[in-house]
Amino acid sequence: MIKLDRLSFGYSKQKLLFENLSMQLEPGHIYGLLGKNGAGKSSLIRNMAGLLFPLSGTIDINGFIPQKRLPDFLKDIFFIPEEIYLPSVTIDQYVKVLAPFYPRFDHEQFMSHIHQFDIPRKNKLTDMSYGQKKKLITAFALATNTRVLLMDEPTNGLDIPSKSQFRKVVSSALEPDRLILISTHQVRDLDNLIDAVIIIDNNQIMIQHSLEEVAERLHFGTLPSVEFDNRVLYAEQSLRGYKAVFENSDREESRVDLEHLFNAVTKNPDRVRHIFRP
Amino acid sequence: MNQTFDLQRFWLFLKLDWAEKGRKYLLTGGLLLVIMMTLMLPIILTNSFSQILMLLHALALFMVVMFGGSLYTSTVFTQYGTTDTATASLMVPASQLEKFLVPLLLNLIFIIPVTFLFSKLHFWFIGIANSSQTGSSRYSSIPYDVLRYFIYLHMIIQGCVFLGSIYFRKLSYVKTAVLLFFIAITFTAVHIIYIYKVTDSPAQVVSFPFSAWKLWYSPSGKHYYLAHSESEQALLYTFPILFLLTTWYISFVRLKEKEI
Repeated sequence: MIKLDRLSFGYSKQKLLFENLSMQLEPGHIYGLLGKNGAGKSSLIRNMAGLLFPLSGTIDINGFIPQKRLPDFLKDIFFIPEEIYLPSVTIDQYVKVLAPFYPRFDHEQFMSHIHQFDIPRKNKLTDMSYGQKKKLITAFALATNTRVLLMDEPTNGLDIPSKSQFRKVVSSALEPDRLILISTHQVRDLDNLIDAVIIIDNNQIMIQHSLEEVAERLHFGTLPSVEFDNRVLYAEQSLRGYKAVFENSDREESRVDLEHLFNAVTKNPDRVRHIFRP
Repeated sequence: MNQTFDLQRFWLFLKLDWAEKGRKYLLTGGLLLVIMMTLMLPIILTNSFSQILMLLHALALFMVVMFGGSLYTSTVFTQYGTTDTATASLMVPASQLEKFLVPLLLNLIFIIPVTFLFSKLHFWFIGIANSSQTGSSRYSSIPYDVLRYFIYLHMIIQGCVFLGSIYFRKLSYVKTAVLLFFIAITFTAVHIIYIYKVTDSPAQVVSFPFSAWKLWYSPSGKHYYLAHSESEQALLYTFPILFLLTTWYISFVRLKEKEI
C-alpha cells in the first residue's frame, strides 16, 4: 500500500512541484499516473521510491519510510525509471547477480516474459536496443514479484507490437497483493491496462479514481453538436460530429477514453472537481 | 534480517559490484602495476650506476602509488555520477552501509597492497642493484621518514579523492585535484609564514607541513634543523589517519543523503 499524507516537494522551497498531496493507493490495482510534461510525475514516483526526499509531509509504503532506503523496503519495491541502466553482462549473469536480492524472484516467470517479449538471450545487455532494454527490465521487474512496482514512462522506446505485448504481460502479472503504478504522458499506451487513474496538474491531484467511478460520473461519446450543451467538459471534432466528455447525468455506460479524460480534467479543473466531489 | 549490515547481503552486493566494475578495476590495476614494474625494474638489469634509474623509483612513487592510486580511488562512486546508474545502485536491496563498504573494500584491496608492494620492491631492488655494482657508487634508498611522510600524504589525498568521487557528480577527479591543489598551496604558505614569524625571519626555510624545519640565517651562516620529537611526530601523524576516517564518514553520510 502507498500512502501519501500532505506531501510537498520541490527542487526549491520557493517553487514547489506539488503541495500537500494526500492519497492512498491500494494493492490489487494498476494505477495510471497522468500529467503534462513537467507536472512532477517522475518526481512524485522518485519520492515514493526514496530517491528524492519530500520537503514536508510523509510517505508510507508497506509500512516503510522510503527515504530511509532500508533493505526490507527495497526488496519489496521495484522502480523502472525512464532512462534505464543495465550493466555490460549477459541476461543470465544479470539474473545471477541481481535476482538473489529479491526473495520472491521467479525464474520461470522471468523466462516466460523474456519469451513473450521476444528478447534475444545471448546478447550482452549493453548491446541491446533501447526498446529491448526496456522490455528486459520490465520482465525482470515483474519476475521479482515485489508488492510495489513503479514504472516511469515504461512504453517510451517501444514499438507498436511491443506496446501491446507490454500491456498483456503487465496486466497478467497483477496479483491481489501487488500494486502497480505507471506514470506516462502517452495516455493511449495505458488503454485496457489500468483500472484506476490519477491526474496531477498545477501542483495538485485533480482526480484519483477507479475507471469504474470515472465512467459512472462522466460519459465519453459522440455528440452532433456541442455549442449549447452545458454538460460538455471537453470536445474534439470528428467525422461524425464531436467526440465529447460530458457529465453522466443519465448514468449511461461508456468506455473511458484516457486522452479525452485527461484533456477534460486539465481544461475544466473546477467543474471536474465538482463532479467528483465525495 | 539486520537492516544495517548483513554478511550475506554484503557478499551479494560485492558480487554485483564486481560484475559491473570488476573488469575496469582489473584493467586499471593491471596497467598501474605494469607501469610500476617498468619504472622500478631497470635498476636491477644493469651493473652500471645511473642516477636516472634511482629517479625512476621516485617517479613510480609519485606516478603509480600517489597519482595512479588516487585516479583508481576516484572511480569508487562513479555509479552515482549519472541519474540512470545512481538510480540502479540506490534501488538495490542492500543497506546504505553495505553500499558504502563494498566500494571502500574493493578500493583498499588495491591501494594498500600497491603501496606496500612499492615499498618492498624499492628496498629489495636497491639492495640487489647495490650488490651487483662494479664501481664505487652506491644507490641510497628513499629515507624511511621521507617515505613515511609520503605515505601519510597519500592517505590525505586518498581521503580527499574518495570524498570527491561522491561529492562531485561530474569530473570529480579534476574538481577534487584543483581544490586539493589550492588548499595545499594555502596550507603550505600559512605554514611557511608561521615559521618565518616564530623564528625571527631566517634567510631561507625548507619545510613541509607536519615535518621538520630547516632554517638558514645570514650573514651568520648558521643553520638549524628543528625536528619534532618522536612522540610529537607520532601525534602529528594521527592527523592524516583521523582525516581519512573523517572523509570516509562524510562520504557515507553523503551517500545516505544522495538524491537522484
